[in-house]
Amino acid sequence: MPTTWLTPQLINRLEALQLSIKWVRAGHQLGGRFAINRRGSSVEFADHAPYSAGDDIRAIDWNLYARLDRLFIKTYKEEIALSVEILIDATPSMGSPTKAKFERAAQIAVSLGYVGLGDGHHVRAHWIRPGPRLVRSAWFHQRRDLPRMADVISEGHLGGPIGLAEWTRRAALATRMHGGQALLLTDGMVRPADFFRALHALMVRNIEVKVIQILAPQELHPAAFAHAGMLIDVESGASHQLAYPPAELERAVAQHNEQLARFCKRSGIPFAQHRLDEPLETFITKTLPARGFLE
Amino acid sequence: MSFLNPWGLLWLGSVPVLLWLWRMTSTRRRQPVSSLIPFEHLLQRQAKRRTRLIVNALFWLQLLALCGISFAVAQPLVSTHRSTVTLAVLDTSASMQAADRGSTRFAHAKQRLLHELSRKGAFEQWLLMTTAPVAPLTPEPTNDALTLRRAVDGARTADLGGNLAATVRMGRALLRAAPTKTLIITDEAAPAQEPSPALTWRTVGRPRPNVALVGLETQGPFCERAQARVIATIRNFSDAEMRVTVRARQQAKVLAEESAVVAPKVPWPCSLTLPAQTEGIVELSLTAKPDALEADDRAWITVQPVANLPIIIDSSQPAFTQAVSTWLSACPSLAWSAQAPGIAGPYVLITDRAAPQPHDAPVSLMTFLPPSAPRPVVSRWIVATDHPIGSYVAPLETVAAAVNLSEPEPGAGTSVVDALIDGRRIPVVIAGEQEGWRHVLIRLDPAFDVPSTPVVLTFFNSLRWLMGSSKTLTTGEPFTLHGFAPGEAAVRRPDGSIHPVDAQTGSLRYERTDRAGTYQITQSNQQRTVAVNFLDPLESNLLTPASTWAALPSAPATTAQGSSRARLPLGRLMMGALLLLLLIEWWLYSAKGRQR
Repeated sequence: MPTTWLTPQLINRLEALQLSIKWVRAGHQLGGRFAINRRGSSVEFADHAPYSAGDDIRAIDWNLYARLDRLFIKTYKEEIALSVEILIDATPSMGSPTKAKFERAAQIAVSLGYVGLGDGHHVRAHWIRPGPRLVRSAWFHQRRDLPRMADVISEGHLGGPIGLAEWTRRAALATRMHGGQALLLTDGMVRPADFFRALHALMVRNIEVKVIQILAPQELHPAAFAHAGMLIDVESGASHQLAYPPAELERAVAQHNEQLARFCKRSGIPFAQHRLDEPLETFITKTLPARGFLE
Repeated sequence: MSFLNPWGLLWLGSVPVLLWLWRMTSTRRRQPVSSLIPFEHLLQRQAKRRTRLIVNALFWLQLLALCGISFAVAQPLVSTHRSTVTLAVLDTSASMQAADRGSTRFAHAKQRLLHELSRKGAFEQWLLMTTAPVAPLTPEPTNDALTLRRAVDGARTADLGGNLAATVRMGRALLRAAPTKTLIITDEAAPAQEPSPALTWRTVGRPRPNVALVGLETQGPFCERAQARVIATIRNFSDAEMRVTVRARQQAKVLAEESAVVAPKVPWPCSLTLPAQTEGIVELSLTAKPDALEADDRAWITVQPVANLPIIIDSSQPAFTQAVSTWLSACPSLAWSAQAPGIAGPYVLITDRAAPQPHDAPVSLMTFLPPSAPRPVVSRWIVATDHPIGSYVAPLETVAAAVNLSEPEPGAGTSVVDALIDGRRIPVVIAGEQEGWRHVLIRLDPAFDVPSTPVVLTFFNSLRWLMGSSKTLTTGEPFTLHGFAPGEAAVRRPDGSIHPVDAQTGSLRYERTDRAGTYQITQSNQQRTVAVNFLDPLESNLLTPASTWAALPSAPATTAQGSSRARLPLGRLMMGALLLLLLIEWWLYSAKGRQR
């Protein structure tokens, strides 16, 4: 599948970025290039630590002993590779009002995945949709996996409706998610409580969660819906007679999105909202670094 | 603002229908959304019936279009006082058909008029008039350029003469005031003295040589059973002699042909002898080069099978009766009687009474006015050889006859033979025609002892002329036919068009004889043909045309400028705007469709 949007210029700019990592918990995979403040075997000095029995005497800092008359050992950072899980919402709402929303989610996923690959992390994509089996890609490890990753992610398709919390719980168990990062790409068309539960399920597994909400302009400003007589939910098929002024509709959407954003902020989860009319490159290179996704 | 058709505003009643349609559509329109979750707290409220109509630009465009249609159908007019009125006279007389510089004079005239119209101001009203027939091309003065252009495009020439002064007078009468400006487009030269600055004269065409048929008559067999004759009078309106050929045809068969070199400005009476038993419509055509006008090159005449009319001699003088009887006896086929008239049909009355008794039947009259004391006088006769009465008589003859030397009464007719006696010119034979019937006044005594040959020839020529008929219909004259069944008849005109004509009383009257040619009147199995000729020397003279312009009375104090309101019809303009509106609406609708 040709990925015309993935231009050499964009790839160059992605290579200059790296994922912002606030903490590293258990669950990482060793052998990466990300140095963490943990006693490790790399050459990068990390800190001094009091000597305790069993420590390698080769690590004792004799200069410090001469000055302080106490034994300290030098610790070195350990370089690890994070697991980056990209969770792409593939419920029917992502295909409404146009399929561009889902396609844009795939583009963002590929872009962030490439940034992760550039940092030496391991990247995997999941599609949030119902089914007996979880739909996910294989791990991608290297930069040269970009074309394959782009093809795989682009070939993803929409599925039926499913609760976000339910899927997250199921996926976390099935794939033994632990540690690393999870990038959730969704339109946020879920009940706030469900959204909170889903994020919580990830966080308790020591996963650093980041949320990107992708919306079409008309979803952000639904005043135009006021011309309609009846609203139809594309996921549930439920309908409702519309008898509200446009301002009230706008207010309702703003409140909903505000609820999601506020929860993320309160939980220290980076949250970014992406409008489909915003250029992808601008969003990746300017908005996401500003929101703590990249650096 | 006023409306030509105020009932059109009833279309505004469709606006509520539009509102209802929009309301119905909007309440039934289904809008798929990603999720109803953001609106959940709204859904918990009880849904109210929407009272406010939610509209978009498309609705306003539709409303505007509907209102615009209502107004366009109502045909609004905007009135203003700032108008000027121009009376434009377009010469449509037959002479405008003359060929000129690759086209006709009329085509040039129309171009000029359209050019003038293109420079017309928006509120400038024009009244277009044609000269032949004198009629307006638009029912009233208008400033609608399209209407005026269409009127000019639809104007046609007629085989009629025109009168510019009469047309301008008629135009003024229609305007009920003097126009601000008068424009005349004609082939006549502008008057030497410019009548007024408000008059603009545009001349099209230039003097052209032309040969024309200007007179026509038929004479049946006379003294013996012989062929009928058609006498066509030809005139050469040019500066040089011209060879002219005249042919008589019947159903594409040439019956007779005559050629001659015709001197300029001298009438040539071309006599064509038709074969025996010829009857019905005979077409005459002339060919000459150069000849600018075709309309006057053809004529049609009806040849009757029966020639001679009965002759009645009415006199109290036995000598007169005897002398005339002796002359008539020379012609065995003539039926004459000295009895008092008792026949019903037309006849020729020969009398010496100054005031003949009134007669019921149509009469051709030959009146002799002998001198009170007859005595022979030798005189020089000057004969008008272009007149049929002057046939076979030398232009100058020395004649001894008892001529009446008194002065004739004025207005008796055209003098055909004059006698020069003692330096005086005394009319001897005067011919005239009144209401289609001819009369000849011969001012000599037929009972004189030795009648000279010119006198006898003149008598028989007169008799034959009286029996002949020049009753050819000319264009513009209505014709009436009798003997139809009550109902409707159809008139097929020379241009091929067919007009229904009412003949409820059994008689049919047709007035639109503006084309020369044959008019066929058909009613069930009955068919009749009437020949209408264009015989107008004034129109045929393209070299030195006579002016039909005459000074008009000075303009009244109130001109049409002050009294007339220009009315600008907005209907067409609104239609254009509506089309644009509908185009925008279609574009918007398509754009919405693409968005979906």
